[in-house]
Amino acid sequence: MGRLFWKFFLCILLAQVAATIGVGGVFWLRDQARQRATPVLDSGPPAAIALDAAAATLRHGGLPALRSLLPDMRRPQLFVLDASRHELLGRAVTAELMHAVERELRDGAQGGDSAVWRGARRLVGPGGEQYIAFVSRDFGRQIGRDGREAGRQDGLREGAGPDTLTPGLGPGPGPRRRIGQSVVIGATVLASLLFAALLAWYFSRPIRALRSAFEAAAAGDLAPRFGPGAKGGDELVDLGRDFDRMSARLRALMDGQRRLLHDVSHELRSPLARMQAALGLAHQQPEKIGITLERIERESNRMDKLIGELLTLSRLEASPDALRREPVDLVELVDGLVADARFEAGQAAGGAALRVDFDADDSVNVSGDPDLLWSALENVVRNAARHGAPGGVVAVSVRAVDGVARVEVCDRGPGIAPEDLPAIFQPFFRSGASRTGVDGHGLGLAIAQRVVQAHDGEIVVANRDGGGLRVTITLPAAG
Amino acid sequence: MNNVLLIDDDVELVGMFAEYLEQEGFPVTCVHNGEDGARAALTGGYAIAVLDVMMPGAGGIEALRQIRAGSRMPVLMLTARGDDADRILGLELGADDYVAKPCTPRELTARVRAILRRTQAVPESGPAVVLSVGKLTMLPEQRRATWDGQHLDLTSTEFNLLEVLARNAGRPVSKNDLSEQGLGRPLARFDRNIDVHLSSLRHKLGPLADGRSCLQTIYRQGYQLIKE
Repeated sequence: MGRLFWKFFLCILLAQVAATIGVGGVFWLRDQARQRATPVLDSGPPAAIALDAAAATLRHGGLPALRSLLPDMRRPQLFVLDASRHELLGRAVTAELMHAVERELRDGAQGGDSAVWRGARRLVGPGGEQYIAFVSRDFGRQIGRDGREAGRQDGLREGAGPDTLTPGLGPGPGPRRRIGQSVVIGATVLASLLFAALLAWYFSRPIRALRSAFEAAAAGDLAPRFGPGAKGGDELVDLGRDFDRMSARLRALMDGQRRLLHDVSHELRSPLARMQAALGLAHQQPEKIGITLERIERESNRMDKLIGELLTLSRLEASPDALRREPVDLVELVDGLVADARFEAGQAAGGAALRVDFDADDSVNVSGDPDLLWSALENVVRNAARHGAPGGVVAVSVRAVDGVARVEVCDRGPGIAPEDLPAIFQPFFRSGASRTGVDGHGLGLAIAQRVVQAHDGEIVVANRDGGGLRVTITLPAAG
Repeated sequence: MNNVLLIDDDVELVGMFAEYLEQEGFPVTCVHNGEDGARAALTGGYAIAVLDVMMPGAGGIEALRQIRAGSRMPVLMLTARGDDADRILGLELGADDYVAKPCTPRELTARVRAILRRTQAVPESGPAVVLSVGKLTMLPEQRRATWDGQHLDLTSTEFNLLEVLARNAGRPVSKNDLSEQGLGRPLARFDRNIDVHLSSLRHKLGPLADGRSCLQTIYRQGYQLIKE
């Protein structure tokens, strides 16, 4: 149970107490108001029963019986007035009470016989005498100031009744009711505590789960913890899902870095293995030292190139925004590359194997880092020249369309298997066909993509209809 | 016959290894992918195959699986230094030994020579020696072993290690002795080679009457073939 739990707990408890006080206050006020506005006559079922009893007593026992009944009926307290409006026991009846009785009787006369629940009734004695019986709601406070009954009733409340019994005993139901009340209050408090604790636990649980997930992540464990199982749910469940998404992304990034490191060491090892083999040969056949040295030179150049490419890649990934911005003419740049490619193709295959077509506008200007753009385009053109050699022709075009510079490099080589297309920009990725025998590390396209993206451009690789590969680079043209 | 089959996708490297081995008197054939390599190995025309298990995809491991499915010829693996997973998998699949790349051609040649010397040990003159320990019977000259009358299908390295243990039956043999006499080289640090081979042997040999394995690991001393 953390601090948060207690905060929730206290807040909820406070809210409950406030609500209880509020609701209780409202009820109390209403009760007060009702008491003030209470009709002085009691018209409830007990009153009706008392009136029935009075009527029956009068009918069968006459006035004396009724007279002896009245003192016994304390609750509800029954009053009977004779024809001259005197109370049978001589108790005083306030004017207010009289008004109420008269109003009640009038209404009763209009309402007919259905007035069973009325608080006042006309009684007819055996001799035909008229009486008015009613039940007062106010138990003898204003009435019978000197009546023994009233004195008994009010003894405790006023605390000054001369004939009050021992206060502790009080009126019969008192202590029991008080025990009942305290039990109810205790149960309410207990229930409120329980609910507050439950709610606090319910709210703080997902937060605790999140916290433990963060702790685990800080300790390096990025496994998903909340799972997709929790459907719908509230913001806290969403937060858990977001956490899972975040850790999955982090995991992917870290895995990527780890794979990169693994690939780098592997790629550096291949030239090393060849150098060691060459050294072994030199030991074995010292007369062939010339060839061996050439081999070692070639391998060290390869390693140097690989490391250079890796540095470029890492620089681009670390700070893609820190670019030099200079006006660059893409046509001029690509023209040079095409010339190089033609020269190399001519060298490699006796001049007949590969044709490189170049088609361009007069000049297409972009703003960017000339070195990076050069290496990106070089990689793409070289790839095309290398893999497109069997197709015999590589077509390069540079155009400016609608404020966008577009470089297209198309070959008629074997293309790339559709399932490999999404992975083609990953470092060290080489599709099946090009894995063996071809020089290169699989960094070219990865570098090209990052350079183009750093220039706010886009690079798309797609297989062409009829075989071969098309690489399209679009860059925002300089104004 | 001491023809060597080199299976590796690094053309230049293989070329240099071949040149070196040929100078040392081993006729060499080079193959640059796993499928062709396995096919060539299974022709039976080679004394040993040197196989790069790190060829792209599952090329190397798959080739090893295919070779072991059809032949018990010695196989020397080329593995990446520090990549234990490939090495253990290769040994479990029945490769005889491994060399970590990058390695010098001299190292490779020495390893090839050691394996060939072990597997092609010239039969000693005199009556045929029969090693017999419990249910195990070994005929070193014919390189045959039986367990309870049943023929045991062992790779050459497994046979060599079992032979060393059988000659010392009832006594523990240290891992270093096993490596030197069975593999022809001293034990390297953190070398799991012996353990993998012995675990494979344990599966091939049946249990003793009381259900224990007849090959026991003796803590800090090595392994022992139990003599009943």
